[in-house]
Amino acid sequence: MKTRMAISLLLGVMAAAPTVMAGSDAARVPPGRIPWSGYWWPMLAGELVYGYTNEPSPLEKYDAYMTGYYPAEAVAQGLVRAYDPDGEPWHGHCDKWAAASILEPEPRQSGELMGIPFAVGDKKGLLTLLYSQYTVMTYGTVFGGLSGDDPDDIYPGGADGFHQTLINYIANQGLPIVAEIDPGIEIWSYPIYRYQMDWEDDGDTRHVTCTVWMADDFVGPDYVGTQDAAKTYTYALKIDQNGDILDDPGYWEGDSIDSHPDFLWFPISPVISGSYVEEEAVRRIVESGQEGSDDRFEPNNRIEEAHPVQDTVEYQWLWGSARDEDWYRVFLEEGQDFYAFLLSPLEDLDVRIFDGDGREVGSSFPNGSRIDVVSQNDYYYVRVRPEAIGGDYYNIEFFGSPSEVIPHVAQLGGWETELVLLGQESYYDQVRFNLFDKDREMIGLENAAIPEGALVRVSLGNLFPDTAEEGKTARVINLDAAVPPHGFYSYSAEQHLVNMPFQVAAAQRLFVPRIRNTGSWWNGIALMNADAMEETATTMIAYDREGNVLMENAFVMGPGRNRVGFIESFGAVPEGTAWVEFFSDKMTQGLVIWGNHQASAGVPLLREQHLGTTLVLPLLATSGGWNTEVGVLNPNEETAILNITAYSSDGQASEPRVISIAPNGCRIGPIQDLFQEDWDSGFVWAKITANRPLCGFQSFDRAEDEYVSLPLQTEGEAKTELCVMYGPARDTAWTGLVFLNPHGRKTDIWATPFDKDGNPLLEGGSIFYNVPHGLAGHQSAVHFVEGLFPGLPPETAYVRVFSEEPILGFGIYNPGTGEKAVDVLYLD
Amino acid sequence: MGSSWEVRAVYRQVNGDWSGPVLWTFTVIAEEEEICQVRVTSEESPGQALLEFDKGSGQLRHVTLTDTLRGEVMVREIRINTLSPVYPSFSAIPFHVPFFLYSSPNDDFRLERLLNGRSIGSETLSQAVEPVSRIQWTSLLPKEAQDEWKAYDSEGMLFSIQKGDRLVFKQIWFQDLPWALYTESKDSRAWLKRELP
Repeated sequence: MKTRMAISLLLGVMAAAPTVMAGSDAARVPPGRIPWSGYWWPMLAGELVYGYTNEPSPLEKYDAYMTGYYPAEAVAQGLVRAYDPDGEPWHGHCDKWAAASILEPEPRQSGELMGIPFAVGDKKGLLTLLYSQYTVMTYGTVFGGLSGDDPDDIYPGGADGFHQTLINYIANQGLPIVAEIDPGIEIWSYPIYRYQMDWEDDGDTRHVTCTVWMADDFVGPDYVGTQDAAKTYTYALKIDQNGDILDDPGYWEGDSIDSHPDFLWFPISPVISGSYVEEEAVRRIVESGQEGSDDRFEPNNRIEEAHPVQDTVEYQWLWGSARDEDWYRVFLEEGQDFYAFLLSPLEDLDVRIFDGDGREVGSSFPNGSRIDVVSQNDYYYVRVRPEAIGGDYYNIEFFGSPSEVIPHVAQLGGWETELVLLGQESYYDQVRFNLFDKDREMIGLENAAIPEGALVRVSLGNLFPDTAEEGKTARVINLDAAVPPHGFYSYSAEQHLVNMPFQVAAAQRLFVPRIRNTGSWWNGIALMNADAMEETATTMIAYDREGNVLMENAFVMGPGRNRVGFIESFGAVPEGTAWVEFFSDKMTQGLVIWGNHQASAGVPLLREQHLGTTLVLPLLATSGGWNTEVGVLNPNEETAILNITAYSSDGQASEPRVISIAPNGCRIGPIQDLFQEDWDSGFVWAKITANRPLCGFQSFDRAEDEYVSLPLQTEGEAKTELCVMYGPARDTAWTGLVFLNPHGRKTDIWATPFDKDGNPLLEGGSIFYNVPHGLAGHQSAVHFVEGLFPGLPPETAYVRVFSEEPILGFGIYNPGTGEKAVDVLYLD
Repeated sequence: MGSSWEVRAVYRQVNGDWSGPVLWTFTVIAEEEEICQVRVTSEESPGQALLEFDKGSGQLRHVTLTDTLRGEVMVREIRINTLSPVYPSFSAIPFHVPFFLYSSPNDDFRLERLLNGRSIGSETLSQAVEPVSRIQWTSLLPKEAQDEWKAYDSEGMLFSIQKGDRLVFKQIWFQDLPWALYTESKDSRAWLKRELP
């Protein structure tokens, strides 16, 4: 309701004296449109993500409402968009709150949905996030301190714009208007809902004193109502002889010269595509009352109704209501360890683990229960029972320690399987090794200490002297740790050495990126069904270079079983086969080793995680007797167009060469074939960009008995920290390293050497690469590790490499154990 | 009547960032001897507008804004009493329109508007018009719009509307397009969505 009032008083009536007119005007928006006070959620504190009480945060509750657990997508987004520990102290959500406080009714009471309590602060916080972006009418532009920015440009001009816009909104329309009250670079938005103007006219100038009342955001998140904040501004406007205000910017007066609003704005609506909370869900939460509702996993009051938990992930909290008994079902694998851990405001909940026959198999500890070594693959059941009072909520996580699977254990014919592990930060330093036979029975279990920072080599043959030859697959579990073990595993025999990286995810589509079928070459395949409960039907498909299907063969692998042999044992491979796909209805893992009597190399079977539209070849070795081969696969149903750019040692890019690869086709051959007549021996690295995701491998060989392979890296794999997990034992071994700076910015690179126990060898010091120039953009560095980092102590066991900018890299090394044994060194 | 076109708009946020795009649909709902009515709606916004143009001059004469505030439907009427370029007030819908009538429309114009029957002031706008080549107008467009219109090869007219020395909006028009290909103001950017043949 408009309450505008204008009074004009004749203060001077003497004919000869100057005439001074005075007047006033006041208006306020109707009661139902007064903006509400709310917290401004500063980015430094990040309370939308981390919470403002001892309860889970607004975004954690939102995630729990949407998915049943937290953290999920909204928390992940909030960590990026609602939290900035390095930001300016004034960065926050005041504009988003201001928009919500005008356009949305105030949440005035707490509510509950799916057993999740939403306080007023949760509701206001989520409404604020709904306005992460908004359509807007702006009067003036933001002053950001840049050249051309104007703190006095409230449209249609200066103080006049402020004056007219207040009247047009509050008096004429009964609408609040938001003021950004800081004329400097800081932004402080407040919704104004009332004004009082008093003026005196002096000739053609009207001097106005205007007080505005705003909803304040200097309140706690759960505050209800409107806390006033008032500000008074003084300014002058040009008027005509009738006292009508002219189209002129006017000017600020008194203290307002330095302290006046930067601009005014009015929100129109949220931009739904710009928010990371869903509008309908937020509205349901905001409108929720106290009637209460049980959690989303109900009915799960009996073992027969147990809610199946798909992912057992640490720090993923399921939200349950403690009104009654709740049951959850998890699938656990033999040899695994398992925890059910409560994070809850309640202390009187009883948590126990049972097998399918109802026998308790877990051992309780405060706030949870655990199984140390699961005895067999099976479903297990977790019961949460309120002991005394009910009606509150609990948050529970189910998790096993992170692990890595070795899909093939080589122990026969002179081959050995060895692991290189770098101890990770964990509650304690135990790593468990489980060994499985061909029937997927666990035939060995050993624990070993891998202290944080220590580099430890483990030979499976030594670890399991009695059963090693029966071992077919193995699992490495980083006990009581949050991260999987870091390192790699190796197969070796005389001059043969093949390394495989950890952290290769299981997948339904696996690619053997090359079939070597000339001379004495063989293609060894290990394939494993990663599903421990169900068999998988797998189809093997052989393609030629043009993507034609030459052969298909179907077979079945039992639960958790692996299958190892030459490629021909999986299905007859016709002449002309260039690559092979294994497509399974369950998740699978595997690797390929290419070998002959002199050398061998291999890669994990390529899969989705290796696909990218930008692939990088960090090294094109074509001198010193080295050859480089490249294989690029197009595992898509459409033709791929590739732009291949090579770079010289000074970072100069070649003209891109454009080639195409047919659907399901490939290009495999010497690096020179990829460039044909454009090849230049000065090329040192190359980049492939494509219109659809591709994958591939690189191989390096020398004198027929040194052979190295690794998957092509994607640009996204570049990191600022790499670890060279092999020391330069200079008397018998050598380690060559390749670093590539794929982006345009120069980066400093430095290395910190450690001994095998994880002790730094330079007392915290580091050795910088190429001081003071570092590694320029689009350039690579290739050298022995001692050449890159001169002065490495002789007792160095491994080296941590740090870079300002993300870099790619790998190593080639000879461990000194076999005369010509070389292979890739993955930098984890 | 019945013809329609779509306009994508992004909005400058208070912190200077640009919002994600909002798609506005313009539909001609009535065409009579003297007036043409266009309704503007969006699936992403509760707000809508009814625009009434004078067919003879192309002048935007009347705007009806329908918005929602706290669940309450709010209708506002804006009447334009003068022949002038028009820019949106009280609405995020990009209905900026230059003045088309004169053969050489580089001039100053008086814009007078009534909101719900009450004057909201009078202001002077200046308009400058110049032809723009494809290279020139392409360089004015944001990247997303450039991608969408890269295959369109035509010479257009650039309208620049200022108040004093401040730009109010600039707009690029083409003979064969139903609406401005591109509009830029201090708080929004809008471009016509290209219809594929």
